[in-house]
Amino acid sequence: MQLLMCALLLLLGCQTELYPAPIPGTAYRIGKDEFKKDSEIYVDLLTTELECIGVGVDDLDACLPRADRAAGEVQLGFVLRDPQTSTQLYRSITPDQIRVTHDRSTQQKVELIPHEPVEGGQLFILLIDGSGSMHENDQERIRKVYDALLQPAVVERFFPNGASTKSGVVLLRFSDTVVGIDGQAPRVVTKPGEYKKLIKNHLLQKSGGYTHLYGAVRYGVTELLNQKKIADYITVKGAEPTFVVLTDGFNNETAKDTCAMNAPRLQETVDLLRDRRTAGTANIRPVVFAVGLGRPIDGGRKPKSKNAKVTAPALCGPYGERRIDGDLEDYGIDAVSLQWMAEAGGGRSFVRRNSDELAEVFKEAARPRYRWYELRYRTSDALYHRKSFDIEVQLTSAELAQTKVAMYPSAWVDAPSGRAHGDDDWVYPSAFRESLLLLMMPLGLLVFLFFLSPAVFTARRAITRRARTRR
Amino acid sequence: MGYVLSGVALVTWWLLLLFFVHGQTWLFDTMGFMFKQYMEGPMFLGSMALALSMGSLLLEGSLRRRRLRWRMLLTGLSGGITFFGFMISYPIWQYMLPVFTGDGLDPLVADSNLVTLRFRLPLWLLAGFWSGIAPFLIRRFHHWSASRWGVMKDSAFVPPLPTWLEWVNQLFSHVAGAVVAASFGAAVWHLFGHDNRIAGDLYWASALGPMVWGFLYGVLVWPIPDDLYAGWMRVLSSERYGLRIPIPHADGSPAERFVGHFPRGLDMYLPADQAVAELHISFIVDGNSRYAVRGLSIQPTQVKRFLERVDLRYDPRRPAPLETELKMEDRILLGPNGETVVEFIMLPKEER
Repeated sequence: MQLLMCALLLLLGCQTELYPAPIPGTAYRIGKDEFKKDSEIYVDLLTTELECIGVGVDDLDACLPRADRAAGEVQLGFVLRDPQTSTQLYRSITPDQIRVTHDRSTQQKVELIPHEPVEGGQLFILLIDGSGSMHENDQERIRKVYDALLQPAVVERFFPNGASTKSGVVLLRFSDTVVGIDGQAPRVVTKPGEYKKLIKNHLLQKSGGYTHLYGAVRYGVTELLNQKKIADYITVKGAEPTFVVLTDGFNNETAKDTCAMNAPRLQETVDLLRDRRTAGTANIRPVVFAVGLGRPIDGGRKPKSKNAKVTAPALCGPYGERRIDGDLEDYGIDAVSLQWMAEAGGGRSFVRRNSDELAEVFKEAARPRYRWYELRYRTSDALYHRKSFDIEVQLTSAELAQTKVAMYPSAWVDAPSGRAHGDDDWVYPSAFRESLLLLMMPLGLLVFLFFLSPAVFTARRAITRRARTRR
Repeated sequence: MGYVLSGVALVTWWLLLLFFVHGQTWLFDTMGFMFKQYMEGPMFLGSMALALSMGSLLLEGSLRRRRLRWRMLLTGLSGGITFFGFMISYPIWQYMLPVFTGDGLDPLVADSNLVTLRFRLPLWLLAGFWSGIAPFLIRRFHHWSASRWGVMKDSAFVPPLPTWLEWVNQLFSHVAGAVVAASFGAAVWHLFGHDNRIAGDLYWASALGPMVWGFLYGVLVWPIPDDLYAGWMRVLSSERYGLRIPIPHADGSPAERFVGHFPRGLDMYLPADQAVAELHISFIVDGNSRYAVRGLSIQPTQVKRFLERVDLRYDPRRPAPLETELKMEDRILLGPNGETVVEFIMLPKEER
């Protein structure tokens, strides 16, 4: 009866569902990850071995969650997913794009380790400003673009491993209209030789016209992607379109355009970009990198908040009513527009002045993408692991994402603490068998003491001559 | 007892850790369930209390050469009372805890993952209480059963039932000893788990806390009693040096052993030329394993121990001979110059 009641009591504490799931090798448990509803993509934290196996990771140890209370460290693996289809997305994320909070406290010591690079599978669409200003001063600006695009490292990034992968480049020139760099209809270049030849033969050719920057972007993410050859390429190769928009000035559609007139146009462009990125299917979620060549004009300020409405004061500052053609564009670049488009396009904006810096931007836009990431962080004090806590992982630039997961450390025991290897200052888990050492050493001491007492007793009697031999 | 129960607690810790770290996953994978994490507290403290309570009785049964079936029965009963009692009292305390804390602390107290001694010390003390009270009840039951019905006897001789005062004394040593042991275990667990200058690691803390608990439990609650030792008289003087004989009977019943130079019928013969009288002294043991030596001769007889001398020479003016209680390694000097020396030693019964 007593045993039955004991069993009943224990059954009250039975858990038949997986979560909170035990973290192997630790005394922690981890809850199910929860995505924030308005996330553009999902950061899917891999909380169990099944999830890691499900996404096909090759390094299970790095993928599985891990926690070390003594060091205050946590490790999590994650993949990115499309919110609509749950398809896995491959992205290139840098540590500065990610924010980790531990119980709402932003962590400083964070490391992001990418795993399993994805070769190819990208379509780079270069939208290069073909307006007259690019060719001024003996083609000074377009030559910088020319030099940058032909740098071997840039070519290697666009075509990793030569032409053997599934990557392609679409070279476009925009002014009043958008055409291929050779003046023909846009087409996908899949061979580095052909790419170089096109640039060498056609990039420096003058075209002229106004700078329909916003229109070019709108065209790129709509009509261009719907063109049969490009759409087929995206579908067949499973490629993801990445736009690199390069300009040296403002969006300027007529000679009378003022900066303030650009606000509704930019709003329209930004809305379209957001729409394409949220309503599109996984394969056609265009990413937009916006690059300015020159120096930014000290005018407007883009609000820090996401999805802010475009207003003339924010876009132009005090120069709202100033004409662009022959006035503002002579002073610099509309960097605010670039920031707005990059934010809405899930990419980044840059303003650069020379060809080497431009090359870095192209390389950044064509960075290798990875199947999954390993995230580590360390709290400033191990005491933060003495209660259940929430971890929030946020992508702060490019695509917005936020995922929360709860961790439950044991209130009573801990597994063997990890040890630093010396290669870095992170601790790595100790095998459970090491706990046998902690078991056997005190047990050995106890056995030793067990025999020590009679030994001391006998020794003392020998010294006091009570245990002397019989004469 | 301290060493053994310390080892028992340590092994229990390791098995629990193995279960928490690997067993839960295995359990879920194979049987589709695991224990909720809030059960770790009851399981950790309950298992420690259970192991110590059972270990104490198992060890006693082993030392007393108790029949295996009685040994298992009593151990199981003690473990059952401990575990069941603790499992009942654990949620009761958890339910009552918010009464003693302010509203601001409620969310913190409700977090079963909070590492705290402040709010969990009563749980340690409860575990200590149940680990002490259960063996006491079982020992009381066993004693009563053996003396009243002759069931579960360890040997033919059953010691008399203790007086109420002795029972209270035993109850105090069981309960207070177990609670003190548990509180020291809790203190060590907290110290090693929180203080980074020492270890700051709950892994070490969770091993060392129970180890200290087990050691103190063994020392305070039920140290090996005198009745598990046998008193011996052993000759230290040169003639017949090293000769020793046990004082109690083989079944542990009271006995009196006589020492003198009378050649026949005495328990130990010692030569007269070493100043030993015909019937010089006797060693006595009662039913409670208390030993004494009694002077039976007018020849000089002295008990010598640290900073103390007791003259046991027979005084013809008194009707009864003088006697004194004996402690381990007391020496009895016979003769005017202590020509013959006999010592009293206590040895485990296994030595016999």
